Amino acid sequence: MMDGPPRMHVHVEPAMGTMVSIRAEAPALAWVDVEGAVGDACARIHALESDLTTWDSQSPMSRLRRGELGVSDAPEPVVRVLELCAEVRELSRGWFDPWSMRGGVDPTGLAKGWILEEAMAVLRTSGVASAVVNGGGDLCLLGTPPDDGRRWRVGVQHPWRPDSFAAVLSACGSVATSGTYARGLHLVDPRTRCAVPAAASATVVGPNLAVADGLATALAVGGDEVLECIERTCTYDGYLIRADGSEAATQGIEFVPALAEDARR
Amino acid sequence: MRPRPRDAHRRGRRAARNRGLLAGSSLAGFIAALAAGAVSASPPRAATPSSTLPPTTSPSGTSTSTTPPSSTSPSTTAPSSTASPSTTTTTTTPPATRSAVGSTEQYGYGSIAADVTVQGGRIVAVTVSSLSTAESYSQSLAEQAIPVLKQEVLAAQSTQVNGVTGATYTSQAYLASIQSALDTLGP
Repeated sequence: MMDGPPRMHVHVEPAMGTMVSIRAEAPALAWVDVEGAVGDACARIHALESDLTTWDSQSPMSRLRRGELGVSDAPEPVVRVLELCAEVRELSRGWFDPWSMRGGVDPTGLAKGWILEEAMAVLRTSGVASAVVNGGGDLCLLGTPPDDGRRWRVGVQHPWRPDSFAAVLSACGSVATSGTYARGLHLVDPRTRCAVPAAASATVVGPNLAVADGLATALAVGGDEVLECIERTCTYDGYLIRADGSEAATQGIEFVPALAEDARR
Repeated sequence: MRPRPRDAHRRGRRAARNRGLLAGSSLAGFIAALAAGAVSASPPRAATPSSTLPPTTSPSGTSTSTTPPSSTSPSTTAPSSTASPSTTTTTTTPPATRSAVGSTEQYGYGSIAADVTVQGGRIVAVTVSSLSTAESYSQSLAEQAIPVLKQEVLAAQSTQVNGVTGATYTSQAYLASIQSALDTLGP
């Protein structure tokens, strides 16, 4: 079975209120082992989701929100996600603030990214060499692309033309996008709790998808001010499409200009 | 644009019981349909990739089942069916656009057929020409899965991108969370 082109294992799993797709390639592993690794990654997603969901009123996270469960008694995933939330609140100067949500702390804007990182960790420790875990448009990237590229090329969905890209970015680590185009809503400014005309599309690239996920949420609400916060992190980069269609990006964002037009479909 | 109806999560509770039913099986069927469509392309005709499904920006709610995805056997994703674009290669220059409807494939809870458009050896559009499911919540799940599968197929054979980032399939939970905040703010 070592002959022929590299085989990409493709799997789509309904989870976290969205579809999670996993594409994994592991030339050194038997096919059945890649299947096993993907199955384990999915099991990890569901296990963590059951701790962190705010949809199940009896989940540890829901009980913590109601004050029935102290942080010191909460399962480790809840503690870890809350730590990351505090970190991103700091990085974003309060623009990402799960503690401002009505009904108690709501880490949903970051938890999905963290769970996807954990799923990728399962793949990595299983020996998978190259993988994309895509949870509803938030991507976790492992290794290098199966074609000979050294960095992944990620299309940023155009906020108003569903079949087009606004840009193609060269990335590694993770890519998260937040925006209002998919739901036609405005976001809430955590400082004033007022609805604000949010960015059309806010993309963050960086080493950890949990942090990128939270920062993308902040960028969608805070716009240019958060872009400056992201620039200061030195490890994350941001690409903002404002409500009026104008764009801005941090220094480190790598566009793939020649592809942007051609890759549109 | 208005906020999506918020009843989607109710379907999600029931759908959770069938977690994973689409995962391996429909993907294999879908890709098999793709392959069938690509290799048995009908004579050239104008490509009219029309969406035959409603927009699927309304994923079902976060499921709460604690059971692992036992039935999610990816084994049905046969190696040979993982989007091998080479079978679609044509020698037409300039690249003509051709499309064809693939065979109707069963996936356990229904059947699906894909309409594929190729241009110069690349799949440039995928639509679903028919989809039937035994029950309405299977339909709901299938409609969510298809755009993802489509994206995977296009990305898998694309030399241009390895993935697509966007806010299309946003977390219903987060959406509801924002919505609840907005509800308290009033119009």
